[in-house]
Amino acid sequence: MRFEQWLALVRTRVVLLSMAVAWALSFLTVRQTIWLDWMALVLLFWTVYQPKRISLLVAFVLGILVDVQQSSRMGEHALMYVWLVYGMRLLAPRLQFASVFMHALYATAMVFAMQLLRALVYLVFLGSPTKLSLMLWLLLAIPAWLLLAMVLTRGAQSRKMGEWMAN
Amino acid sequence: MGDNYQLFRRTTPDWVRLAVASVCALAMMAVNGPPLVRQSLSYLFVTPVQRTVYLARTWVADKVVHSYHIATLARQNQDLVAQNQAYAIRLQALSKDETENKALRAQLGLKDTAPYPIISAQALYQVTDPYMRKLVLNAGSHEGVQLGQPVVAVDGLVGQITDVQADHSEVTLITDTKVNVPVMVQRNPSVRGFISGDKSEGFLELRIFNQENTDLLKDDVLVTSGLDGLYPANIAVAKVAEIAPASADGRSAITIVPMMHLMTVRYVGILQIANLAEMKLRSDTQTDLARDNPVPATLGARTREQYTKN
Repeated sequence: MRFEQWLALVRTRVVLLSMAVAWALSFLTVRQTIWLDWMALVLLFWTVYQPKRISLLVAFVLGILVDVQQSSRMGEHALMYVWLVYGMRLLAPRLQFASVFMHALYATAMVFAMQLLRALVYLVFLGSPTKLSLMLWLLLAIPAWLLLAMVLTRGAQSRKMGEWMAN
Repeated sequence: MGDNYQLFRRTTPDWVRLAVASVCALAMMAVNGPPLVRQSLSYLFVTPVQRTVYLARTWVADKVVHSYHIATLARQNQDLVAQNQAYAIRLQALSKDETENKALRAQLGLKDTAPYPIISAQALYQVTDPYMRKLVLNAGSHEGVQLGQPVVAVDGLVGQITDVQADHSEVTLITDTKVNVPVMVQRNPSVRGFISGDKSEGFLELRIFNQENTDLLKDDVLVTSGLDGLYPANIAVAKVAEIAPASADGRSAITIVPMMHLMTVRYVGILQIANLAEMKLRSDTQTDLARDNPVPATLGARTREQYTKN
């Protein structure tokens, strides 16, 4: 079976666990300036492999949570996540037979575009520019995506964990 | 197949859901969220994690790392003792000045300025949002922190408290573009203006009230003027780093920097301004008055009103 076939079998608890881990990881920063949007990544990941589990409501609620955590403007991340998930829903059927790397690439490009849009809105309406170089760290999302796919697939295949992780 | 088999399923289309969610998000952004939601979510999901991590970090630091630091601490302690003695000598001279100052003030019939009690706090972390200039402190409403209180560090003013939770609070730094601080030049108090954050990171913008009197030199220190009643007078805010020579139209660019690197400040003090609530009440009533009655209530206007009534 291919990666995405294994990933489609993963149980709800693993999805919830991945979200909890993303929540914990998004507390972390590198040198207090670089921050990776783990929650967006996990949302897009499950939108690709298990579209039934991620509704727009889930995206909205998780966005509000991230807003509270990052003390950004309330609803800002919610708006971004809702649009990201919607976009990925349109895109995912067309990526069905692409490789996992292509999925990672598309998702990262979408997050990147969303961040650019946000920077643009801030620049135009509030006049506060941001350092675009910090956004280059978003490229880390590609290996993170591949790693997540790999770990979950290996877990689902394994004799010990398989029963617990996948149907 | 299972529950997937519904030939003519009637649900709200995705784009409608997207529109509803977007409108909700935009509405929340417009009012910056119902504060209750923010507070309760923060209390449920953010504070426990923060507290656990903080406890774990303190535990590790106490149990493991501290032995590394003993040598450094001993050296630091020596330095501090020496510094303390120097300060003690200076303090003696200053206390003499203080009594003298009090006596002179009494002679002139001026009121004594009460010193403010200080809550000391530590910066837990800085808000990583690239559009914010904020720090999170480990003192909250339990310790008596209130909205709007000014925050200082050893080198000068840090910012103002803009959000208070039970056990932590948020300080918006003076490098944020939304914060205004009334200042004067320490060397020449007649030069006054406003400091606010500059568009470029780490710099400040100075707007001077009186354009005729711009007596500024390189390395001048700008201190709070104390005129807004919020920031006590004579706290260092910023210094003039550079004054470019005047160009053809007689203008020159002035570079103003804060006294320290604000984002990496660790230990701060929160000034307990006594009459903060009263000040807020007064400013609110004044705002209401100004909005309801745009014409200023002058003595003449009041007299005329009385005449027309009678």
